[in-house]
Amino acid sequence: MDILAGLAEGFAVALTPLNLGLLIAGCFFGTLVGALPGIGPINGVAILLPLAYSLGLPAESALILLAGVYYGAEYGGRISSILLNVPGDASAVITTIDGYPMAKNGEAGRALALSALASFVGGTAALVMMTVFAPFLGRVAIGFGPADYVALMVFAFSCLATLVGARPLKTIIGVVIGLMLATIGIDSATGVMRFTMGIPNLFDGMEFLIVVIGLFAISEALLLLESWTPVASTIKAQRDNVRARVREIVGYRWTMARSAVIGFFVGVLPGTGASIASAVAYGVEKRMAQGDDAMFGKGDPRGLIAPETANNAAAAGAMVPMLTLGIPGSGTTAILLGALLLFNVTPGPLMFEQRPEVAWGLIASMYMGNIALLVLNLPLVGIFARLLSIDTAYLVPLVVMLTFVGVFSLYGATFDLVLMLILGFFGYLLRKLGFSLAPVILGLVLGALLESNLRRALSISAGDWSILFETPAAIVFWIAAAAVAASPLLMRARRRKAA
Amino acid sequence: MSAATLWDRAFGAVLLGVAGVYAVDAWNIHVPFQYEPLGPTAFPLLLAAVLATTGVLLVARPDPVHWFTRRDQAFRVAAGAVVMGVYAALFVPLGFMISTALMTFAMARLFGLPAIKAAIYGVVLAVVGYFGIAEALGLNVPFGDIFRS
Repeated sequence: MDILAGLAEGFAVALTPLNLGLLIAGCFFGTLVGALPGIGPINGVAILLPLAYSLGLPAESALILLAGVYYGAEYGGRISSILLNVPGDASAVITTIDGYPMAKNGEAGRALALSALASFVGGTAALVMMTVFAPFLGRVAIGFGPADYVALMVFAFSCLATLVGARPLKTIIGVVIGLMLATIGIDSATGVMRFTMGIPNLFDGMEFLIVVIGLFAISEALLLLESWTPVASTIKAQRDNVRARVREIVGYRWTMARSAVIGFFVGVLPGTGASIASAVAYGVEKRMAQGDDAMFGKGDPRGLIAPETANNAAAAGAMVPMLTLGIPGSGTTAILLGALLLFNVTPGPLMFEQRPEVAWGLIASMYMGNIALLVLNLPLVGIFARLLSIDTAYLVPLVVMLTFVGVFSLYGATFDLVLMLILGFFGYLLRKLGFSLAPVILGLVLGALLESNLRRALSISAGDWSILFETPAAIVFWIAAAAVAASPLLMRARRRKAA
Repeated sequence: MSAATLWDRAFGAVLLGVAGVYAVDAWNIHVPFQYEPLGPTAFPLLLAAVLATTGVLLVARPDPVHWFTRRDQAFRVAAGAVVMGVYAALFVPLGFMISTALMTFAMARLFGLPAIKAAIYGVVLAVVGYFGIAEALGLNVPFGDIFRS
């Protein structure tokens, strides 16, 4: 389908009153969860997902809502980074480097306005790239066979292991745990039970929602309990002359252009996401400014604009492999993929043809969502700043209540609540031991896909494993996976040589 | 061998054990008929092998893990876990409203909210939550077994 025709159809879907309302609600909620330290986009999406599911929303409406939370959080994360020096979510860590010094210099309003505009430019530029690239990538991927998918997923895990978390070993363990959780339940090819331990509630497999909510939301509540200290914080909300900031940010157009492109492509790579994109963009900007970089770390607007442009661009970029290949690039997009599967939409190359209302409706809604977020984050930024001073004592019971309601409303089973808590305690343990949870979710979401493609490939070849290395696409993915996995070793060798 | 690295070593050992149990379980899957070369056991066996290998590597090269710097942290985490466990146990018997009020009170107290405020918040959240979720959104939340008899 023609891109413009697809977009037009998408806007027709996204502009219905229900979807528009959900979009604005999602963006508002997303900014909020992004701004509140401790509750990131993953938790926001995880908490809303069962509610959206139980409410019986159509697939495209649910996705519009959840995606709004996802990219809205990239806007919100900067607010607490700038005002409190506490990143609201992982991808806003870099924003603290120059954002907080600006606020300390009495320029909090300027920093908030500039970063909101940068977020808008980054998000929208990445959306344009997404609109052009996603259907193209989808057309390429239509020729992929099972062996290509196996190689692609190995490539994704390889990126993940190298780039995410403290240690590749722990990331691999996380992925394997996720893959093992995915094998629980009836094997769809033969109908036999696997690893159900005789528990009827597990015959249909581990419910994705329960795993996500348990691992993320419950463990987060425990972490908040751990880190709580009796300190009251005071935050001043500041607004600024928006028109002057619009004029000012035009002066940083090349910074934004560079950061948007970097952010988008880092986001597209599987396993990487907004956190890495913002760090890379910051590093590039600092190097570009060589000779004129004395202010970096002390409140240079470029050091604020680059990461904020990049993390919003990456959020959109990470949606591309999720939508076109069915391979998510990050923890949150893995949950969005799980959401699509729950609604019986199989993401992949055919989605743009078979379910255009979902694919294009989502993309169109993201254009409008960025505008809504700009409005929420420029004139209304004071509301979010004030909400930052909400006591955790009010927040955590609300979150716990919502997780219980969400999980219980699925099947009305106490067993699910207990399972959620067990997974939550397990998630807390993993995080204390230095594991990231995103690989576990990625493994869980991709487990069935990986296994079925592997089995299908070997069925085609009658058990000959060499089929995995036969097509050009598969060979490219295997080489890329090996290169990525070897890159830390090469870097270390080069550093040793240089030293 | 320091105490800090003991946790990773122990976890690696547990992973090794899990891999073993999982592999035995996979091995014992009985398939009545099968049309494909791999079947339902091969992929799990592959996973078990990877998990066992990584478990051994973790035992061999653990990271230091630091649990808590202050004792009250351990207390709050344990207490929070108990509160959530009790909430799960009471959710159906006592119903959403009473169990939520109790959970909210206890949880808010753990975050240092004064008792009166915590009690008020518990009641408000329970009532507003119930009518918001059960009535407005029409979701399935338990009304409470004790009110039915």
